[in-house]
Amino acid sequence: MIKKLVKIIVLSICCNQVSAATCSCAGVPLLSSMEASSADSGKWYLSVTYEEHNINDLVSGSDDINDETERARESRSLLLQADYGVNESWSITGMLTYIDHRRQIGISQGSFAEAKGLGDGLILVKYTPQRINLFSSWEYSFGFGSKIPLGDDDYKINSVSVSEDLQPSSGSYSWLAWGYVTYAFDQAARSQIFLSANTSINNENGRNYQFGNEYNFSVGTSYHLQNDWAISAQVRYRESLPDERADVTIPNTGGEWVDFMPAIQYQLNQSSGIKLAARIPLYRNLEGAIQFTTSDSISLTYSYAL
Amino acid sequence: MKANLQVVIYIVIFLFITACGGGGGTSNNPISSPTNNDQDWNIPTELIFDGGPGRDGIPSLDDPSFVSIDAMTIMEPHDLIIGIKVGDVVKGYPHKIMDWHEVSNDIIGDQPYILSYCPLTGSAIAWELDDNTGDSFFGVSGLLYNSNLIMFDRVTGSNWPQMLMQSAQGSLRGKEASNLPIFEMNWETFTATYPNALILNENTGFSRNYLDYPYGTYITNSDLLFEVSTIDARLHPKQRVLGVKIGDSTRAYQISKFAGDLQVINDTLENENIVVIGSSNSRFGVAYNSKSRVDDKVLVFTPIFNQLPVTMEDNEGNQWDINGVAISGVRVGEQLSTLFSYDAYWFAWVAFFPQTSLVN
Repeated sequence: MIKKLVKIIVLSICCNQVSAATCSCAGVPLLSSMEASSADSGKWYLSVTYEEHNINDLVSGSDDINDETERARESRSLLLQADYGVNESWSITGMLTYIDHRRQIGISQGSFAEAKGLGDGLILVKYTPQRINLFSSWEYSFGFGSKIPLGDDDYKINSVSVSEDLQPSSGSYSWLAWGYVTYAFDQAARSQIFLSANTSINNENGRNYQFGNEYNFSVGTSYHLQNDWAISAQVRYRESLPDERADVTIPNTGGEWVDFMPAIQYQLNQSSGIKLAARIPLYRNLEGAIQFTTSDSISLTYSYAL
Repeated sequence: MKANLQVVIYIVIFLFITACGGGGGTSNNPISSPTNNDQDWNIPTELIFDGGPGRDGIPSLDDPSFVSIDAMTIMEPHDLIIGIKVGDVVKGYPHKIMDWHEVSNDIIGDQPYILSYCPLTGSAIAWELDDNTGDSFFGVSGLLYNSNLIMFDRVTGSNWPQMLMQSAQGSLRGKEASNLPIFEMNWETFTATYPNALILNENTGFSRNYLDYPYGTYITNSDLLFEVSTIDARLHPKQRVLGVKIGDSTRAYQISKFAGDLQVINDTLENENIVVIGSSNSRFGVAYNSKSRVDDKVLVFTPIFNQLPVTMEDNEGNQWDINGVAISGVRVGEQLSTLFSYDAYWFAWVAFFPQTSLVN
């Protein structure tokens, strides 16, 4: 019975992990699929995520407009994450990323551009004073850390550096803060709601470019179905300030987004599971006259607890 | 369990590798690789920036449509428009539309040309298609040099920085373009000067809000979005100037300092006689070689007020229009030679030609 309860709790927590950090790899909200687990004392929690992020919607303010250039812009990411529980309250999260940015203008021959390589890394220290357990329906967790520019931020095609949004790495350190609260409606934690907030304070990179600071707020719920399945859904509000180059605001960057993020998870066994998650835009109000922005993203995560 | 873990990891890695494997490699492939075998640039690559949209991400107008002046509803009296006259046909290209497209491939009569406008450097130039450019449509590369539009020709894929008026990379590297006479002025003056002109309209085939300027406050502030080679504080960066280049000598004329109605300046540059015509009220400036291409006589001009498009009279009594064409007198029909000359923001002109002299 205890084992089953533990399994349900682990599954539920894994399923409703919210966006851990808002830092981005070269403008793409890369870490939105990060597993924000807080590993138990002395335990390891490992995960690998593959994400496809399509950035093809053309938006003016909050209005969708047709893109007759048939642009296809996607970012494919591989995220390797490790969490270690130092003790019952403190844990550390580290992440490595590999990024593949692609851009193709459909109406144009020879416009394909691709930049790939090691992206940004991340390290986050989390404090979890209260966890969901047999005696508590609440869990609180807070984290602080940094995004680390491990990869190439001066990727060149045809001897010319590609634009910042195509660079594998942002090229700059960012400060990250993250908070997370969840409440379980029942002792087995089959049903939960959660809130999260996080921010990324970005710095200028070596090319004098600075991605705008980001602020995220999420609310969601998760439910553990029968037979090792769990589902979750959250709505996320995201605000990004405009980017800057040499302290000059870049037009047509920054804005507000509201996304719907459903996920389904299957627990393979007591220590591992897979999760399929998606991000679907509900609303956006973007700066400037025109912007390309996220049309959708989908990710597949395998997680393993040691 | 261990086998299970390995299988899943292998699947994920396989998916990523196969997903990343296709798509044509890491190069921005030229249109026609067999003829584009020289990838070296003849300009400093550290001053070339990828603006972000990608090649053709800013769509050129390849089949532009035109309407009469009366049918244009988006223009305000002070809005700038680029004019070109070939024979009896005058066409106008509003900045409001060219801000979003930058290149229009067009033809008047049997004269094909590329009219380009870079909203970041404020420079408008028309090139005739000739042996150097090839018989090609041009597009927007998405690259910028000194913050200026780099075009590419669709036949060879060679890249052409607009303000250099030559190809800087590709199989046509070093080839120079020849410009056609154009003029920029405000809508109010343009419509009074050429009431029968054809105007590029907003039915471009692309969903853009042409009432919206795509670069925020850029047009009036002092900010630059991309690094340039030289900053010269003699003028506000976005001050519009008429630039003239002859040989190694360059000169800029501040358009807002021309006389309000009309000013004609007989000048010399690199031992060449030129005539500069400008108006601060109508916001235009153009320049021509004042030596007749027919008999090599150097003409001296004086202004003719309030008769646009007629702008000046020479010392022989011939009258000339803003396009450098004699419209009366013994030289009627004669065309003054065009110069390497166009309007641009000061910061851009001086970035390309830092030794420029300034007339203000």
